Amino acid sequence: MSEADTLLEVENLKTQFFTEEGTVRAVDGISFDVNEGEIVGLVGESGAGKSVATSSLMRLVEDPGEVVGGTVTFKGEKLIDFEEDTRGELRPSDEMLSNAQMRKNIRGNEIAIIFQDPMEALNPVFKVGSQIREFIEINRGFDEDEAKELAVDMLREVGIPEPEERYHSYPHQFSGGMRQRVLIAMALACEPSLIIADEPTTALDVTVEAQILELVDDLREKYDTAFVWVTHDMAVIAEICDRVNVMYLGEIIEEAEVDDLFHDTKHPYTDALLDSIPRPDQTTEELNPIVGVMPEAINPPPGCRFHTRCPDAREICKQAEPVYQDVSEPGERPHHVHCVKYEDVGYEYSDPLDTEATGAFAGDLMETETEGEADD
Amino acid sequence: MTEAAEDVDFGETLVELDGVTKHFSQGSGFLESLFPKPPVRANDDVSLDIKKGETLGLVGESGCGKSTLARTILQLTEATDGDIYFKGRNLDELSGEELRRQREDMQMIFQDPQSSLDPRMKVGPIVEEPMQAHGLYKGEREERVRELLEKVGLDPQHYNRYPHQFSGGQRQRINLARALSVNPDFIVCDEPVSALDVSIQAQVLNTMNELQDEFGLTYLFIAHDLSVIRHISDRVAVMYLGHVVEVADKEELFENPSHPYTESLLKAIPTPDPRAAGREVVLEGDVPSPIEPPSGCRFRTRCPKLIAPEQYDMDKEMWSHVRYFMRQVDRRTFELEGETEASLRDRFFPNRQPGGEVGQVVDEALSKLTTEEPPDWEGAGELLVESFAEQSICAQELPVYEVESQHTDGTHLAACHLHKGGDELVAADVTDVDVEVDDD
Repeated sequence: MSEADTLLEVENLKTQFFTEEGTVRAVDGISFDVNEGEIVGLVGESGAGKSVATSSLMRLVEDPGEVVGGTVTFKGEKLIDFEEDTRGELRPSDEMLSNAQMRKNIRGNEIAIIFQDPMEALNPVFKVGSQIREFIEINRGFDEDEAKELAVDMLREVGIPEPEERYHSYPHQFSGGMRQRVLIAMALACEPSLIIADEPTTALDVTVEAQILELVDDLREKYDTAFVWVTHDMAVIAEICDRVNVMYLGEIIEEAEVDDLFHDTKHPYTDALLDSIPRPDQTTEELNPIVGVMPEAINPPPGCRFHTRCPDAREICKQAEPVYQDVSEPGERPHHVHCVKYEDVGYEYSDPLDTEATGAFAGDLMETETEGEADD
Repeated sequence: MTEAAEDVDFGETLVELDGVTKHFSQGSGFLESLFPKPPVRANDDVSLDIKKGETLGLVGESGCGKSTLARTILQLTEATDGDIYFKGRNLDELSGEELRRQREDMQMIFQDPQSSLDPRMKVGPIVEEPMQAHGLYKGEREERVRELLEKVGLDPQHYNRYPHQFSGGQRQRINLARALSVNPDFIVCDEPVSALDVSIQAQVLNTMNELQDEFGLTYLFIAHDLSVIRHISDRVAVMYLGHVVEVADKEELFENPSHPYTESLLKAIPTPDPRAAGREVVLEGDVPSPIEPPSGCRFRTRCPKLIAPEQYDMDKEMWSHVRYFMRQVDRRTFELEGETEASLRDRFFPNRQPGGEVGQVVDEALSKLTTEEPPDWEGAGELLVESFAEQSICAQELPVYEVESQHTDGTHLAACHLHKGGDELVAADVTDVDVEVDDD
């Protein structure tokens, strides 16, 4: 992977929400990159900051949220860039694109986005065809007839039956899967180099999801489009992604090629997450859930943010902030991880933490079970 | 109360559905009575039995009638036809008061843990309410609530908190505690974990399993996620467009799926492992509307194994190509620019041209597409569907057949004509079709 084909580079991106209760550090210094024609996954539970991260890339974060730091470089242009002013405060640098440039050159043309709920992304009072046509006219400067022809072609391309007729339908006359196809058609119509897909198949049935994923794979081959694929579903990640970033509470805690992530898992959170999923191809008697719930991003735990739920947590995890680093051996593919286990800060000599997760402490559920048996 | 019907042993039938049908009318009032619109056929002739102590998984795509069936079983909506027996008593024959009492034994958990809890009530009263409604545990209700909260994995101290102070998984536990408060035998769980994060999902599923063992509960577990179904169920029923198409023990169903729909569904599940064989897309298009569902087997319009109509003499390969051609014309998935009748025929039938009656129909359809201006897509599609799809046994008769179980000793029902046996049936096979239709 040479520098040359890096399409998008995100460095230390920070987005915060300034609420009455305090500052929510929704995205807290994440770094990742996307190469041309590559599908990069961004996976995590709800509240991990996945969606905020993607809307930050597009500079679509709304008040009270604000991108407060970091650099996002896309094809050499700075979508987000900060510099220190004379008083030592961060302000957008001169290189950062203006809002007008963002609107005209980047959104839609270079980077398109597909949302989870296609009903919200489509205007219910306009016909599907005219929405795609308008989008093409604005972004590519086609006249009406050319744009219409392209719109019908795109509908056929994404597998909408009878595209000439369906061009004149309203969004509510389409099923969920077809609406999602329409959004994909719209995103592809301007042949962007990057498509951000924010949980695009989460609301769909498995059979429809399978159709959409196959379609995306075919289209990627044809147009060589790169994707950032946001999802909470590890199975979808396994299916479609080349590389994966795992997010937890505003941070990326592990990054690796998809096979390494599943079969050479480094971070305890990723491990626990994979362990908690029921498998369709084999019967599991007992699931191993991750104990507890994700803490609030307004007041994240000190040290490693996962230490409250981590089965491997030790005293040091509460104190030391882990460094996000490449832990692969020379000659191996890069594998980044955010965990003190892979650092030289004395993890081995530290005492295990006394939490439900580490098993040192009998959890609520276990207690209930034994009591129930005693009652009988 | 219900003492007479109280004794159902474990493993015996607790709930029995006999031909349960639920249709919804599309309108109401005077005009509707004069010009009725066709009803929405949510459930049609569903027969199932649920045994005491088991978990019956009910799986199907959205809109197939799973939730309607659940509500009908609990008599929350009235069945259009058919009978539902609970502990041997026909629920339809119970009076309002008797039914209300019977509900003590039947509880429900809903999908959305947020909207199924009153935001203005504290957890304690929420869990207490069903006991009040049934006049149970007078004087010891608060104590029982605290005990139940602990059983479902919450802190008894949470008695005085409001639902919004809990996370989604915890709220679903409150729902569990509420359902358990009247000590029911049967709980209908309508997608109880699909709104939860995976790690939380596992916690709640484990708790549900523990509670089942402890209280001897019977679950009807509705989900669209086959991995969850495989984890929690003892037996599984698969629904498609208002019909139950296959019922079998869990291992049997997953290892020996005998209905083409179940097979396609299983092939479509993603596996959380990049090294697992990729899933296959065998189903095209969307579920048809339940307002005018296809005749015979409802899955036939999407079935990859549609059976060839008997009156034509076709082998498997020819039928597969004919069927493929028919679907493509019907869905208008290719362009006609620069194509002639001969070039299209070569494209869709590369190895062997159809002859005889089949050839005549195909030629007629092709000429409708190529000689008429504008091309008569509709006519061609209709001609093909009427001549082939509508003539198949799948369109003419409703199938129900028992299949021999290979992995367990339970019964295995699969509603598919392929299991009829006897006659020589020619089923299509998508893998036989080697047509490359490039739309560039």
